[in-house]
Amino acid sequence: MNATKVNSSTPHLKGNRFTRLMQQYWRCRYLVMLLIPSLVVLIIFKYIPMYGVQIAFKNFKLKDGIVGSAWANPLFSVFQDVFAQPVFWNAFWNTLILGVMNLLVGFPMPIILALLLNELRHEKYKKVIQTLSYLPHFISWVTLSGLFIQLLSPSTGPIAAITRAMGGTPYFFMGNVSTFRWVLVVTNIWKSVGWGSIIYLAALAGVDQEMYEAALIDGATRFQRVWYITLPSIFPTITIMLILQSGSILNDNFDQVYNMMNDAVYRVANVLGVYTYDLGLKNLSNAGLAKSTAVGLFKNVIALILVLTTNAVSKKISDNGIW
Amino acid sequence: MRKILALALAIALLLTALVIPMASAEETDWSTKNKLKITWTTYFTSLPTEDSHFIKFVEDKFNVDIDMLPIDDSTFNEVLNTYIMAGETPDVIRLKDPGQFLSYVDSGELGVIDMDVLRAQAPSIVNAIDAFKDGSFWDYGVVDGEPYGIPAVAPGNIYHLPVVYNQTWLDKLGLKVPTTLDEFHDVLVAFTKQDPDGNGVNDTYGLSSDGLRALWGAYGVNPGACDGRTDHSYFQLIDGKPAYAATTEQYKEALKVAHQWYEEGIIDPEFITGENTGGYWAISHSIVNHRIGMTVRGNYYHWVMPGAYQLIDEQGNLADCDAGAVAKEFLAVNPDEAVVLGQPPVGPYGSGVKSWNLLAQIYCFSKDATENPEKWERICAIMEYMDHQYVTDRDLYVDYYESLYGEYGKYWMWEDEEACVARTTTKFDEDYPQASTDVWGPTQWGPTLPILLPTKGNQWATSIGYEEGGIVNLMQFSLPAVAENQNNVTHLKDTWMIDFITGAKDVDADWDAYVNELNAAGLNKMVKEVEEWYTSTQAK
Repeated sequence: MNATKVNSSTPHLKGNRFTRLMQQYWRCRYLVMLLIPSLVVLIIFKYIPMYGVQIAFKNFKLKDGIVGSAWANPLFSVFQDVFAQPVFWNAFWNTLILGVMNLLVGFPMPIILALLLNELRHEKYKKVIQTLSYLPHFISWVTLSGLFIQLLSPSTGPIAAITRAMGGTPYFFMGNVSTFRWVLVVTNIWKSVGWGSIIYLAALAGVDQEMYEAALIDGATRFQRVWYITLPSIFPTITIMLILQSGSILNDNFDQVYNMMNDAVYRVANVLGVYTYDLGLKNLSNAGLAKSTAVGLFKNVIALILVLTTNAVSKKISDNGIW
Repeated sequence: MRKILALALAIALLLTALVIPMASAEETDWSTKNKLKITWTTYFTSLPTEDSHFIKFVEDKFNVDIDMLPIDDSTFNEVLNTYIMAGETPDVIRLKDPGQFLSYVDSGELGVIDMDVLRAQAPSIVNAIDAFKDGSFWDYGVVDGEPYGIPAVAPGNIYHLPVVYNQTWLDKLGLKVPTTLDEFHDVLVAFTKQDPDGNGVNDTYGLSSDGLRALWGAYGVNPGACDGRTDHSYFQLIDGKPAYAATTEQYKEALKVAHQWYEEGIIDPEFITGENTGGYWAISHSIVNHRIGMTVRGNYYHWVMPGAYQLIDEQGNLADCDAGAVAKEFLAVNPDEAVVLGQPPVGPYGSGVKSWNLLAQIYCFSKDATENPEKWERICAIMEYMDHQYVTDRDLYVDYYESLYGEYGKYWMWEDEEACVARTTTKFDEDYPQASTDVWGPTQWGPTLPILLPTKGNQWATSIGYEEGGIVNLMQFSLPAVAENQNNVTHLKDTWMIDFITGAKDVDADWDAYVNELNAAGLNKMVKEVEEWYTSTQAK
């Protein structure tokens, strides 16, 4: 509303485009001020540390400092060293596979939960479900991993006990390469689904109720109402969330993976987060620090490409995009 | 207590005043000097608070403001590294892993030690290290001819890891503690198949990840346990040449046996997640909870059964010793049972289990600490005073205990007066609950010294032969390529060890692939570096 008002009043503004823009900002100065805290956070934690990225191109020595270390010769030699390591590629593919699994399986879950909650008539029941479903979001992975290791233990866990009671042999979910990734995906959904559904519930609250009334008169079934009214209404939100998520496909959930992994599943659990931690933080090593920075930068370049591609594709198909 | 302390301090001050002409380092009156702020790191089992008894004592006595960094031992390196990278290098660093010492020196954050001041202010520390193995351990703290660190030697590490059996199970099955690998195997089979816990369910195994150390030792190597968190790279001298333990032929042979044992079902299939499910590191929950019957974990003193040897009790009478920390856990769950310590079984390549490194830590210091003469002098004096538990001079020892713990007889007493070994009383624990929980932390402010205290416990460990048969790591510290690559290599070594044991990979068919993958992850660089180090410094 505010925006249209400003637009309609622009003609009488004088000066070139830039001054007009500035004048518009001035008119909305209180709104702009609300933006300042986030800008400060962004600058302090995201922009200023960027100068450290240069150690990925340097022959880094801690004692010479970030600026003082000599440039690597050739410039990309740190990257070459990293790419020559099979362990890195193992970590890269593990991260990608886990990311795609999380996106394909994990992304629709909060939407489904939001749709289901939206259909509930009993308000109190709905509130309880909602609260219970986003409680796990506030528990750290350190705690949860201990919980899941106990739950899934083939000797002492309750799941194993049920399996045994039904005559089966318990399965070692955490110790098997073939199931470990699914454990990660499913536990991650359990932890994040409620929290993730909040944004969709907000979008659902904004859907015009008259459309439902009209559909009811036309004799639409409940499923048809969801399919033809609810989903299209929250589609822009879904698209934006998808674009943002696609950018974090290489952002493995280090907390989760590191706490739940054991060396039996290292081959699939060695994600980029674990790799850089081993290389750069666990031991203080000059070369390790440079290499883990290079990995981080590489990861971000890929993430940027992914976001741009998804955005472009989404714009082409649906006209929804971030920019 | 505060009165006693004040009195003790007052007397100490008075004495100092009287003997000023011949005042030695201990009697300097620090209160007349500048008050200094010192950040300190040490080992604690629980985090001390600012008003911890020992911290307050040191702050008062030495006129300093101590900032004891709350770094938990399990993530010590990571947290220390973040402090250093943030430019907040602690003044006193108890570098937990000497393996990383060179990297820290290389980082340029450590200061060069003024040995003259150290010698003057901390004579007993310097003398003890001088006297141990011709002072050769000093070399571990020297880089490019400059001293950067004080080696902390853990003389208790001459005792190898304990080989623990559930004695009640052995007795029940009519078995003895095995001495050969064949007997060892028979015991494991019996533990697995003959229902030693008598619950009528086939739910026991012979051993798990840590117990396998006994098998590796029978083949002369220590490739480490496969839980990825307890063992670093082990290098051993094999045929006069340094070799990475987990790629030796001996290990290959041992793996075949391990796979066979796995097929027989005597290895707990959950060995891959380790024996400890959290909490105090030395506990093997597997043996405590009757899953397995033997393990090789912790230190001998963790497993001592009550009454294994005798001590003087608080009334001055001979009394049975208490249970060790892990034995206590074991007895809490199984009150009528017992564990017994044996020797590692003898196999085709001898016998042995891992010994922890004698070089336990390196104490190093920030540039700020070493370049400020006043601060360095103060740090040396604090370390010297707080290391008095090692002193065998009775008067010094009594002074230390009286000023730190209080009245003799009430708060502390002799355990062995001749050998100068004291201990605190239960009254002390009651009056100072905080001090008793972190008794291992802030009482240990300086390096542990290479003086094996002739405590009854150590005498007992010697009597059961635990000085012999340890497998020692050739690399008491590590080199740059080792520091950079060993984490990835260790993960891969562990994952292959698991695959070889379970049979997911075949030892003969896949051995080359295993070695190649480790080499590609950096093992070849590590081995090359160690070989160069060995030929240039050790082989003479």
